[in-house]
Amino acid sequence: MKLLLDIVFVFIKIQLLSFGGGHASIPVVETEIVDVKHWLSIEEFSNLLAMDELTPGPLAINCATFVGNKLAGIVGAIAATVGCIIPSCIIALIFSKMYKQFFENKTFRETLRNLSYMVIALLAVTIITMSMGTFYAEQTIRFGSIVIAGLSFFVLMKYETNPLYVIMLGGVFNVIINVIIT
Amino acid sequence: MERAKKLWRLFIITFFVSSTTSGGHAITAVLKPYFVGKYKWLTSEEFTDLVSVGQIIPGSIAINVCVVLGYRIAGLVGALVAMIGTTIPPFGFMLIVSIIYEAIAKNVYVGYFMEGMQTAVIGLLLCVTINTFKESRQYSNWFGYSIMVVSFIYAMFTNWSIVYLFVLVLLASFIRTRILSRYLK
Repeated sequence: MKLLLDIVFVFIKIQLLSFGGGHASIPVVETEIVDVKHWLSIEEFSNLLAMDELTPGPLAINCATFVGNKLAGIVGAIAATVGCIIPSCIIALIFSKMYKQFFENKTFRETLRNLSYMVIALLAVTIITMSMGTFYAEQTIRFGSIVIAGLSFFVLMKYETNPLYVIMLGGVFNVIINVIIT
Repeated sequence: MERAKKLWRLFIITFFVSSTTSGGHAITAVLKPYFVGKYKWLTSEEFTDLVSVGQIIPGSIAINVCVVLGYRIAGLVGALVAMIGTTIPPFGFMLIVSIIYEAIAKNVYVGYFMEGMQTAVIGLLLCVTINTFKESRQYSNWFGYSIMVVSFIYAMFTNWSIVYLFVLVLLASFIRTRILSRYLK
């Protein structure tokens, strides 16, 4: 029961700290779940991000379901998802009544903008943490991985493709590379 | 009767959209034809306003937007219905995927595949970060860049919760816009 409450509160916290939705919440989840709570390793977290791309729906719910299920089965998954929803509901209901005042408030707009700078820095840190585990493992530099990440970045930056296809291709390439090497 | 029909439609739309789009900004593009076009629940302007409410408040954009829209067109029950419709599909899919993952993650080839996907995700994240940076650069100033540097150091070299950093950024930003802006240009 204590664990379930803990799960609910951690996801409420994550949701309250995620401004900008989607990818902006990745570093928050990473810090709270991997660094602070140690509920997932960085490899499991990277796996989770890959699976999030495969499944539809918001990242937050996907993360919550995965983490909750890992910690306490289906009940845990439900607890985490409920935690994810609570802040959205309360804040959305309050705001949908008085959004005009907020939109016109200069301090509010500036603060949101400043938070987006924080998000960029946090995303950069998450990328570095993930890269350290992926490009350099078991004391060797993985050139194959560097090529896959580079190609994926290049294609997504240059063309308006659905990330899902690029990520699946990344998976296929890595299987091929490893089969050839071994 | 009319109301029940409306709620049912709301549920079907949010359920359908949430099971086909990957959330975030994409969801609004898919919802608009239903809310504004087909059922004429909202005008285009109202829709845009409500979507921006969903985008600026914290949390998952898809859930926020659906709750706000549901609340506007059918009150508290509408918000609840929209929320359930949005949550069930990703919850169900991910539960299945998590269970499969635990069963097959030990397989060597699945391992390679997952690893390749993770690697490609790094490229995707880099792309997202650069695009966000490009968007925010039009407003950039020394203050924004200092926030960036401080946040980077905080997250890179400590294992502390983001809460403290968040409060720090809020305070700094408040002090700057309310007090310092009178003296600095």
